[in-house]
Amino acid sequence: MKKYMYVFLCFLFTTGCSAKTQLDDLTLALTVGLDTGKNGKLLIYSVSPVFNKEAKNIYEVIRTLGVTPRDGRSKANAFASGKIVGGKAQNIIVSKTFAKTHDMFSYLDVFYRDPKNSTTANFIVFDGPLKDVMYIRLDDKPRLSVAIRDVLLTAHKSKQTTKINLLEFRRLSLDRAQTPFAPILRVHKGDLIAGGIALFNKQRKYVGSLSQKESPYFAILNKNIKPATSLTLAIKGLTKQKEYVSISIEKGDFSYKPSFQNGMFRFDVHIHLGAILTETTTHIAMKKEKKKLEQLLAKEIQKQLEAIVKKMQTYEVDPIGFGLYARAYEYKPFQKQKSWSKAFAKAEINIHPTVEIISYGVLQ
Amino acid sequence: MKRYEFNEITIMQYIFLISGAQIGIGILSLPAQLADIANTDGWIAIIIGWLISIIASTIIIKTMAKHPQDTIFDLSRRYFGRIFGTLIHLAFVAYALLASMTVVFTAIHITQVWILPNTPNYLIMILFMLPGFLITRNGVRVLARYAEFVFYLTLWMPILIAIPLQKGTILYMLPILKEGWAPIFQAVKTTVLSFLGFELAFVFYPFLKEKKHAIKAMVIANSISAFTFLLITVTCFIFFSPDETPSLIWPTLSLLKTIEFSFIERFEVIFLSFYLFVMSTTGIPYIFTTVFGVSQLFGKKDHTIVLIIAVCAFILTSFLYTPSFSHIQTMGSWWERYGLWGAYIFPIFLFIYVSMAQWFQGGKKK
Amino acid sequence: MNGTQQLLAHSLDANEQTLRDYFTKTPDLVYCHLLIGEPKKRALLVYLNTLVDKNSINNNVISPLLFETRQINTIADIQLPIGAKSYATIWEHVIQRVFQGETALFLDGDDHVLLLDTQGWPQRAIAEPQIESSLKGSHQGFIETYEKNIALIRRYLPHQQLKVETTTVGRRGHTSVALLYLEDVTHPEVLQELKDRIEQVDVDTIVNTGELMQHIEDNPFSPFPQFLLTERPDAAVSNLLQGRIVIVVDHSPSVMIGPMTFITFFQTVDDYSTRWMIASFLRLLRLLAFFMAIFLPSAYIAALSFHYEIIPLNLLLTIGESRERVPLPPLLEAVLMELAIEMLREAGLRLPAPIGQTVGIVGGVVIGQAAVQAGIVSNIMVVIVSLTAIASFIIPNPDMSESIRLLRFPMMIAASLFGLVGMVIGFMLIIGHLISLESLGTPEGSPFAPARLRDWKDTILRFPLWMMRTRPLSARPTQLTRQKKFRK
Repeated sequence: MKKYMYVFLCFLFTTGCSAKTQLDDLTLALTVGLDTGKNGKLLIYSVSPVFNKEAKNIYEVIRTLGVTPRDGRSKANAFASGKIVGGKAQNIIVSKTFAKTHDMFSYLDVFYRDPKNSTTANFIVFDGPLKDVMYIRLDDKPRLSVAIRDVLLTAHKSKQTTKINLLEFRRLSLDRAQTPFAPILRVHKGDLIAGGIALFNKQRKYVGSLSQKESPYFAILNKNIKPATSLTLAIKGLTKQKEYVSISIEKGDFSYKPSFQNGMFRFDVHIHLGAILTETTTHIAMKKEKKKLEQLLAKEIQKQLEAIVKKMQTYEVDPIGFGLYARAYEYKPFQKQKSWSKAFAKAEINIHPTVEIISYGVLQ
Repeated sequence: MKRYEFNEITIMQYIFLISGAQIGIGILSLPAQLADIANTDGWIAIIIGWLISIIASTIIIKTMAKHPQDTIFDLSRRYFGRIFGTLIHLAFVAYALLASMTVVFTAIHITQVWILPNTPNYLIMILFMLPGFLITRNGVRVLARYAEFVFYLTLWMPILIAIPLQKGTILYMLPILKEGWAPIFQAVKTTVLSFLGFELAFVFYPFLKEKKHAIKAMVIANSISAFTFLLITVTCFIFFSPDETPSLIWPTLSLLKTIEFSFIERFEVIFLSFYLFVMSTTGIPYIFTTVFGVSQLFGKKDHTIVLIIAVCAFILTSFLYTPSFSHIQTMGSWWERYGLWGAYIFPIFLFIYVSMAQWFQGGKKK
Repeated sequence: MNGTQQLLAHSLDANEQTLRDYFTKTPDLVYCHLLIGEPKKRALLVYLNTLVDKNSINNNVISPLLFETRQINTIADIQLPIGAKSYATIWEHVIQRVFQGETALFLDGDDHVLLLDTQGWPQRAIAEPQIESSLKGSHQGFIETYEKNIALIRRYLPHQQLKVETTTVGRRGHTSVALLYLEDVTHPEVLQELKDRIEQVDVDTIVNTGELMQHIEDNPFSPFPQFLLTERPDAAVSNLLQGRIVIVVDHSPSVMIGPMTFITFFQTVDDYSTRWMIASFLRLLRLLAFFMAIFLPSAYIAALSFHYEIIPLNLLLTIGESRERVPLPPLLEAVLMELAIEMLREAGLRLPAPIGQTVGIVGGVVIGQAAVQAGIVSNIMVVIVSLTAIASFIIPNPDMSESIRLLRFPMMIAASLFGLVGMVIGFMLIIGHLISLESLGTPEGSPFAPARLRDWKDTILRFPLWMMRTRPLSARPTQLTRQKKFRK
């Protein structure tokens, strides 16, 4: 009955309760940065919003030197204006040099282990020392953490880079059949730029990257086409000189056929892309030359895709998840491989893209 | 002679009472346990476990149907005499007590880990005991109504769990039967135990109004639970990569962490708070069984006094003892071991015994 | 006067003396001596000046008596143009009737007294109900005279199965209480239960229906109403047809209806005159309002005190900025504003309309705007408190609305202590309480727990009228079918 509740609540009210994590007393670490510091120690940045009209900056950057992220946080609590919490973290940024030499999992563990922390924060590799981005002054943009997130999201939508959150990073890392990847952020002339993809190996160390130009092709291989993937391709052979054609890929059908022959995996990848022609630098008589153009585009795309796959094979990484198909359809040989990455590096991968132009705008 | 007329419950209430008792704390960790043993084939084990639990619950109903007005407490007295009957009575009470302890302490532990990290044990215990007391005090009828209401109230939760399904990779599930049947049968032991809860039919059967549908009700209740287990397990298997699932203690909650809407994020906090409803429908029937069993032992009709003592004991325990996670796991494994005997093996034995006894008696009388 | 059970005397003088002994300090009691008939016989008219219709007495009683030419031997010989008359021989009856505005006619030498219905007291004209204003239904509301109220109901149901049972409650007041029900629909057990409970009430008097309600309700410790009070005859009739019992109390413009279920407090009779889609939408809206009114401020407190993670970042930044200058913890902030709103509401309720507007201005501008500018509360809190207030006004039943407003406060405290867990436990307690609550022995949680799927047609959604062929089971009707399937 209700009256018991009142009595109990009154009792509890008087005993008090220290469990609160009141918003006012917190410093929300929205962006956490990890970089190599002096003596092989860890340099930890945390960016948090400041809610005070009198303060000059709307966010504060705290930099501490520690052994682990949690150690750094404890030290940072000594001079933060409130208890630092990571429950709303939006971005986890690591510098490239740090990522090259350290197993990411050792440093991300706290984000997975503590259920209060967010696992949907974006994992980002920064090209350069982290202080470049942490102390950047963006006069035309809001808070840094939001700006980083928004830049990344926009770049991801236009396929200039990719996006991965901590949970997905962990999923890919722990799966035998895949390796993780991450978007790359850099600062160029005072501007934040997200472009390119960092590739990690099975030991969660940075091994190489795909350029911004290669990113859309990575997205295609990853079946990540929506909302639209825009490509500008250089084409010879339609007219005599070099021409540029831009297409926007709207839909795609994929088929990855794995097979195992002679101790080697083989993948037959068929990709059928439906594209909208958005721009050409020359006149193409679409009625006559549509088929030819489609073939030329397919060829060019094939070249690019093969180049990426080659690159991944040399790095011995499988961010696309060819291993998933190998495991699902060729389970026995897959299980026999000691390391899927090594097997993937040796695998034969045939990519056959086809392009269909479904529309070419309002011009003939 | 209808002993429990005032407290009669409908067939729907009975179904939700049983399936409510089945779906509780186990489901939060079930996918990890299954993945650990049978990898992504664990879901097949759920189906096998479902069939086994249906068989076991049918046996229970068949036994109880011989004396439709008897609970297990009355039945044990009737067939095993005073001493043995009392022993079985006590064993069942102890089982229910262990179950309720496990549920309550696990619920407290999960709440502390995920939602209220700094709140002391005993405060959460007091908090949980408030509705526990309120609902248990009013007997089976209110208990059944509560189970029913909670079922409707929590219908949205499986739908929510299905949201991450669209982000999942179905390829993780392939190939089916990757290591053959052996690991699946190993996993059946785990799934069979996650169906624990149907043995409460031993207590609730006499309260059922339409007894002729009892077996159907048990099948439906088990199926509701099986469906829920299957949904959550498959979602976890599809969402997490196969080697990742066993690395999580409560994969279901980790899964929910990623659900974000434009107006709300981190759904696991809300989900888990609401999940207390689901856990309450597991814990409260067991608490009721304990309290009801004890008061029957003393021949008391009203169980309020025993309930007050039990609630005080629970709260006092939480003041003195804060179980660590490994303690809770031990408690859980005790429950499961006990449950395997109490819910699967004991009913078979009881059924045979009761049938034989009736056969002999029937031979004499008729 | 000791022993009102005493019989009247034959002598007029003795009777008058008895009356004068009894009615001391009653200046409005009129003794009118008359000589009537041929030969003249002494008679005495006694009535309470304030409770009678003087026209009726002059024209229908005194005037015919004065011109009476026949011989009057006994009181039975007197013929008067008044329909409702009765005879009494016991003082108790006489006195009680006189207090009810009847006129007593004593005749010398007769120990019977003629009681004439000459009632006429100040009464309000039938007007539109004040609290439950009607959009589509009738604009007649109940008034303070229970005969009129019964008449208003009978107009809807001219049927012999509509039974009226009257009784009186109260030692001093002798308040008339009438039970109206459809005999072939209402469950006799429910009716008997209600009768027993009313019979047990032993008080001075019942001033308002709400008092009787509190004396007979099932659980006096519940925050929820267990009877419906309405001042609309159409609502009463609608409930009668569902198999419920209407209790009309004299002097009170609201009638009481039972047994009710929880969900019926979220329904209005207007729902049935609106097309079903719109009515269903309104029902959903009210249910949403119910949850908002109870949980919105506590959810805000819980989120701010414990679960900042669940708020999306952009909203969190907005909240952080708006709370930047607020020195109070969320609980105090919320309680402060909620109390302010409650006070405003209460102030506005009791004040005459012109001043009431001032309260609105003071509340809206001064407290809302100024408190934010002064940095005592945050913008978002003002928004939340206003939303909550609006939500609680949507709930059509004032009693339920009040219960919900009250429950909000323990909820807020629970949320500030235990966050969402506290809220959920609070919700559990509400549910646990609701499902064990009964109204006249029928479960209040019906049709949800215990589930009666048949009744769901008229709960959260309102199905088209032609589909509502049965009366709700939760009222335990003995005749279930309400209408035939006449529409394909």
